[in-house]
Amino acid sequence: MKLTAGLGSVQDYPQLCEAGADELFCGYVPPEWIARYGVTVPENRREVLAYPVQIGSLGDMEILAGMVRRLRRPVRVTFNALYYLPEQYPLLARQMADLDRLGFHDFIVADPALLLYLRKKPYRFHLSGECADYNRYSMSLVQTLGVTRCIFHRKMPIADMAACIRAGGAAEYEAFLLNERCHYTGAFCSSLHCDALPPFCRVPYRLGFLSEHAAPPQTRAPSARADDCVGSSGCGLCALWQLRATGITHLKIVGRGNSPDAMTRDLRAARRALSILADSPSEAAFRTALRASLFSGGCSGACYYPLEET
Amino acid sequence: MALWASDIPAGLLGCTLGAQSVGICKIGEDGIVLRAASALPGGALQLHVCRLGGKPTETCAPSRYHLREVLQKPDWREYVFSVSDPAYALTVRQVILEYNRFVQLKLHKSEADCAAALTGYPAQLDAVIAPSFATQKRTWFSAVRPWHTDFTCEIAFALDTPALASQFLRQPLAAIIRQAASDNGLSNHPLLQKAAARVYFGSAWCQHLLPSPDLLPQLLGKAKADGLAVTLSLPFLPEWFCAQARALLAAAERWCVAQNARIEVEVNDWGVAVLLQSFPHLQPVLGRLLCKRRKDPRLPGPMDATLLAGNDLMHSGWRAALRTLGVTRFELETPGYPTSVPPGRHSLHLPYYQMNTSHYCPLTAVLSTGDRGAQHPTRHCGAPCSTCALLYPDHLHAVGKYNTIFGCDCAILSEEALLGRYCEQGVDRLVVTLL
Repeated sequence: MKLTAGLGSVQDYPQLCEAGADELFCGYVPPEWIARYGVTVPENRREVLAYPVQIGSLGDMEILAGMVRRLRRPVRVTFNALYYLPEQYPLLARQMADLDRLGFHDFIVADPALLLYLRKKPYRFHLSGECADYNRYSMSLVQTLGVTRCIFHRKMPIADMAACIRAGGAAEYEAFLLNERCHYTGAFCSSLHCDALPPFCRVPYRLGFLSEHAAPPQTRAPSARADDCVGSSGCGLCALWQLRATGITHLKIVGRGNSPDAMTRDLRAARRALSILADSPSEAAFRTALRASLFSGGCSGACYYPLEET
Repeated sequence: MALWASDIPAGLLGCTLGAQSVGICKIGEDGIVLRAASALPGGALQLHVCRLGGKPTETCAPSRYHLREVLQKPDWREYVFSVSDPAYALTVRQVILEYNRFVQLKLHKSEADCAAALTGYPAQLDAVIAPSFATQKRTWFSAVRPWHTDFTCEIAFALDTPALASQFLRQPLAAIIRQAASDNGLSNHPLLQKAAARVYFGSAWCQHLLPSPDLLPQLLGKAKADGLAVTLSLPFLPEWFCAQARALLAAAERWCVAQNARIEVEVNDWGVAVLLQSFPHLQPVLGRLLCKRRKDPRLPGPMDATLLAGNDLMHSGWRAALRTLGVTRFELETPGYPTSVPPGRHSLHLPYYQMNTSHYCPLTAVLSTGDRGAQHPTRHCGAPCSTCALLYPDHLHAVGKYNTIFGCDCAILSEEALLGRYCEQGVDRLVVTLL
């Protein structure tokens, strides 16, 4: 399985390659897009301006193309907004053509309308986890889209991934491995993300009754968990054995905009976990060795692939 | 001494030389350092400044600048320019100070205080959350001033829980609607006084809220006897539910064949759209989870409302592709700001709109662990949503019910002109859900 890591700035590419990324993914948002649309109808799912999450110029993409030729870790470019306006499809096509001329041929897309618009282009498309839920029936539609890779979303159980891989539809399958385990499903998240306001899942709330009651419902206090370990915001390392057995080919480390040092730590931990996986004779042995090596002080419990409750 | 800064995010500050964008290494009041793979493109230098808070992008073209030196780096060249232009200096200074202010706010202030400082968001109101959802609704709907115009749209009512579906077997729909209207303080609203011609069963959000394959024919039979058309809402389709979904659709198809009838199915999963190709008496309509749009009670806020109005459903090619799946009707929502309606005949769900939906149950997670993020897949549902909800600040008009956060557009219940515009554009059905 290969590690694919988020890249926020062109300067970070060498460091992330050195840390163990097999490939990277980035966003490309040129000034003309920002001038017309800002992040009101964003180009991808990093819907902010004031964070280093996008490559913002064709000049920087040209620099990146040179780095890729030198260090040989391919970069996929993400255009994974949930939808676009009709007027934006030709703009996106022109941007992809510019990138294609530089040597970028793989694009991550979530909007099926965009995929259909671009279906005659000779690019390789990855179907984003932000597109939809997947099951054995929807994989037949995925096949018709001609994508090379299907990226499963964050909340997809491994058994569901296995069923989809058996159904077929793509040559490669990617699963989330580290960071940003959202409370809600990305493909069904319609709320505002921007610099100035938190996403709605971070707006204050409390548990209450539907009807009028004297006191709110009783809940447990959340368990204390380690919050400075690898994967503190989302982790699938324990599930690597099952992910490999299922047929996952690529593992996503989320982090466009994270500091390069934090991404380096995550990549090195993921590399260590893959090394332990390769040396382990059984799943139990793998988990034991993984915990001893990376989580001796406890883990965050923010599991991407929790066991089903009965 | 001139003010300089490096690595200002490209979203805030871009640079073009002629028609081509180039990266900025550093920028100062009296200069700029650009990078390029090799030679810089030709053309005049322009800065593109995007201001936070939804202000329009500004361009700044310095009148006097010259290249001082070129530095060869491992992967690019850096071109160091001196700039002598008071307007440029002022723009750069504003950008640097504004970005610095943003960073300081994010480092030292809460998210609510940042929002207040950057947009005027009423952060102090976030502390006001009513003791129950019933109390919230009473407050929200007490401000509604019912329409006077008699809209000719078909009226549909959603029976979106097992309890309501069971009630339907025992009572006329009109009685259920009267009770729901009374419970919500909307008895005088014409939307709930006009006779419903259609009923929605099932759920667009959660598999555990669907009728069983045994119950569904009973519901369909009752609806037919009462002269009601039917739409069956199905949610997204995880693998564990595939067999049950197929059984449910097969039951619906058998009933339709026996009764020489057709029903609609609200499709919120592409797998369901595929399944429906095998059931010719079930008419797919594009569901709310597949009609993509920004929906948030804080909109338009810092965003451009005119850009928010459209979405991919306005693209004729996409609509043509949906027609190959048999889909021509879209289940739209009213998200609190005006939106465009694609050509054709479509439904409008009100007053609630979906914002976030989770594959797993946030309510169960909160009740069992105190942590909404500690969600687990579960086949056996304890139905916490029949008694509990996640309550949000009153001023936001939002609620976390089932596995979904909903917003409530109260304005549409009062402002006839808003609804009139939707009807003029092709909405011919109003679907009422009272959570």
